[in-house]
Amino acid sequence: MSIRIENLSYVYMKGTPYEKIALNNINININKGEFVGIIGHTGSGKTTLVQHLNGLLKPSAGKISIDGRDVTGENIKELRKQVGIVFQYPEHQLFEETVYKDVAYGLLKQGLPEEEASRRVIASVRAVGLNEEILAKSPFELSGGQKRRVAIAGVLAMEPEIIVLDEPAAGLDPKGRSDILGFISKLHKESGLTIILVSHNMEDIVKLAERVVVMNKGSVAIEGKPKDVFCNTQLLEEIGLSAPQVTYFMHKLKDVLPSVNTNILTVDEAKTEILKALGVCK
Amino acid sequence: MTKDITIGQYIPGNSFVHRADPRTKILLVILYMAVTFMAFSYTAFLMLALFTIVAVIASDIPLGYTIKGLKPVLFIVLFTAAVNLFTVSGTPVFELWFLKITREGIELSIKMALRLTLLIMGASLLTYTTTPIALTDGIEKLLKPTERLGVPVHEIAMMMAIALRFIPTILEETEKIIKAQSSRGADFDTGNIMQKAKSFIPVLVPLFISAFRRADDLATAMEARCYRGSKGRTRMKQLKFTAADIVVSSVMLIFSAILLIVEFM
Amino acid sequence: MRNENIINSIDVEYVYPSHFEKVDGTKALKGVSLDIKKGQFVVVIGRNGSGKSTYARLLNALLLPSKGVIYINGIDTKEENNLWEIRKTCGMVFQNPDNQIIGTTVEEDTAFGPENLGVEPSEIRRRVDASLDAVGMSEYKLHAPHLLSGGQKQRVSIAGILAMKPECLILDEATAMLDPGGRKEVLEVVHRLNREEKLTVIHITHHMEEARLADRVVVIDAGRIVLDGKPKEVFSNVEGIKAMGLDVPQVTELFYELRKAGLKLPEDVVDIDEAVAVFRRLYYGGANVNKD
Repeated sequence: MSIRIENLSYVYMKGTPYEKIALNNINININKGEFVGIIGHTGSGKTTLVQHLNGLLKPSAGKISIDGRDVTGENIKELRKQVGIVFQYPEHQLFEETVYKDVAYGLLKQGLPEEEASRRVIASVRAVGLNEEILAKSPFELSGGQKRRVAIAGVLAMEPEIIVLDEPAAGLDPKGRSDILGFISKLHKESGLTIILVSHNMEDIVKLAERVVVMNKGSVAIEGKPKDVFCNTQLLEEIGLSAPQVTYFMHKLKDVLPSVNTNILTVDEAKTEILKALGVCK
Repeated sequence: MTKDITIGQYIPGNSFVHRADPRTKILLVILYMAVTFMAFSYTAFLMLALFTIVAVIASDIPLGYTIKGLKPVLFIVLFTAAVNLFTVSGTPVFELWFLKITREGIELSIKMALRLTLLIMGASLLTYTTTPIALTDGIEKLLKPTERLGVPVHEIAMMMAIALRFIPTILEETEKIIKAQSSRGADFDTGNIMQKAKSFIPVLVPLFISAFRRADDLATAMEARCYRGSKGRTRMKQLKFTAADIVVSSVMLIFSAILLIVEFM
Repeated sequence: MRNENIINSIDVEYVYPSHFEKVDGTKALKGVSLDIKKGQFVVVIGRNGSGKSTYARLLNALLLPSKGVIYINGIDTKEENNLWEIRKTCGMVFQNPDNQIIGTTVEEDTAFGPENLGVEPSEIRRRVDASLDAVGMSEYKLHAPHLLSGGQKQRVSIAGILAMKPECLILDEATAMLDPGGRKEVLEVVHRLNREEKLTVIHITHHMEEARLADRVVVIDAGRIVLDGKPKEVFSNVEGIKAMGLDVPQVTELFYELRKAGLKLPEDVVDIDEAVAVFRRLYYGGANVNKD
């Protein structure tokens, strides 16, 4: 499923003294099966943008089409089956007595037969790296990281074709963080889902996204491959974001080792590059 | 949705009314209410309406804002008026099947609507010009004498202040949970009343859980900041009567006196 | 116990009572001995559930040790008569910015602590103004807290603690829910307070990069202190830290990887300029490659 966002604008509390332009003339295309990262700091409009994708917010101007069909004309329930959104701190939405019931909530709302629902619940719980024993437990006795995964499984179970994750690793420690990002990456590779990852963490986006959209003050500030975006350290800083530490290091290292490339985003790349520049090859 | 309700929200300003002590304002609002209930003639209502409008203008509150603020209570006003319109007996002017409208009914319902509107405008002037915290301080001070009768005055005021602090936070949270559950296929609009009520469980359960978590966090934070009830506690802002109180009180007292003279002499 | 330490903890254990939802009856802390000098900036790092937050709560007597003793300025935290003295000395800022602001305006909230301590109204006013100034929130003093950003809310909470005139500021994962901008704001404020006001700071976090500028880093894992030293010393143990599920700064990791590939590089490099200087010294222009 491809997403096409054309001239999208959104104004909060229109017609009141608190009126605020949250999105200003956004144009983005997302192809089927693509992994797109959206970055920007709090208040840049990234959350507002993704809430348009499943009709939670209606554009003040412009339009969004999915596979060529305008979403405003679509049946909203159908749309929400196709586009799943995982909100920030999704574990705060858990409410059922058992993990099974919570993950199945959306499926039963759709009126799926019990067997199909049960198949999907098991599949999605596995997809987030949990095992079936957890299904009978109460979601409230789980650890923070487990709760988060159960909540994500609840969205995966709807088998959307596009999944949006808003800061899925917020507040987790490095291990919890890499666990969550690990299964998101696996999902993308194995099932070819279109994934939109909203984050303010550069390192995560660098590792996963094929394309990056940088939002600033309600507009798209930069868009492109992670390499092209993150090597533009100056523009990133003007917006109040920063590139990975190792990218800055390589920029400065160029004074000492003029032959190194500076478009480096990860420790591994930096290692290879430095060894090459020093003529030490493995 | 919730953001459209303007009634009762504090509007910063520096008018005489803003500067007056909350205790003065609370007492004067009570007097205003009493006077409103004693008004019966159209002259009295006219005087009251003029006085209220002047008071709003003198407080630097946009008149349009005050009138817009009446919207949410419009239904109550109309309903009360309607009840009076059809139930008061007297000289009939219009009759249809079992509905009977009397001249007395019309008059009373007009006056009732006027009275309610004025009451709400006057009372909301208090909340427009007084911060919630000053309001709770004022109530706490005014209720102080009842402490001897065992009324937990400090606790009541503290609870009111915390409730006021958390209303916006919890409204925001409600909106977020509704959006999140809608994304999972929740449907809050279809079905009969029972089904609708049931459809709110996925919102209410997380909301209660989060409210309890907040309460727990807040209690810990208060303890960590040495909160131990009213004993030995001081306040940064001391309530003080000033010239503004004398001005505001005199105006209100003189007006009340004139109105009562006109009405009963 | 009069000495230069603000905190002395001796063999502290803590077991959560079994009705707590946390680890039933298991030990959250298993013998923690830690002394903290006045004026130090200490970062305590550990995974979720490592016991680091439990330790913080023991420091201002929100919890009491099941075994062992904690002295704050020489006062045992178990002495009930000194409870308020202890809480005033070690002020604490918590994780969730929304759940610790009590006042309906910023200045009302800052006044809450000193009001509870029974400070004179005029003195409260002075302290509130000074504290809000110290965290750079003076211009927001009449604002409603719910309209502020996460970083601003946490700065207001810090001001609320400062107004109690503490000697030690404990940040209990106070940056965990903030975005990078908010984290930076808060850290700048606490570093400045530490430098200029000589305030002791204990910052509990799982973000490694926040530890780089500390005087001392303490790593807690499974209820025990496993590493304790200057940031350089702690970070040089790349393997140990990674095994605990934590991160090291990217430059430190890069140096570790390059050492594995045979380059002779120091172990204790944590920041960029230092790393570039090392290269300038050893490998200027790519010359002098030692491979062994």
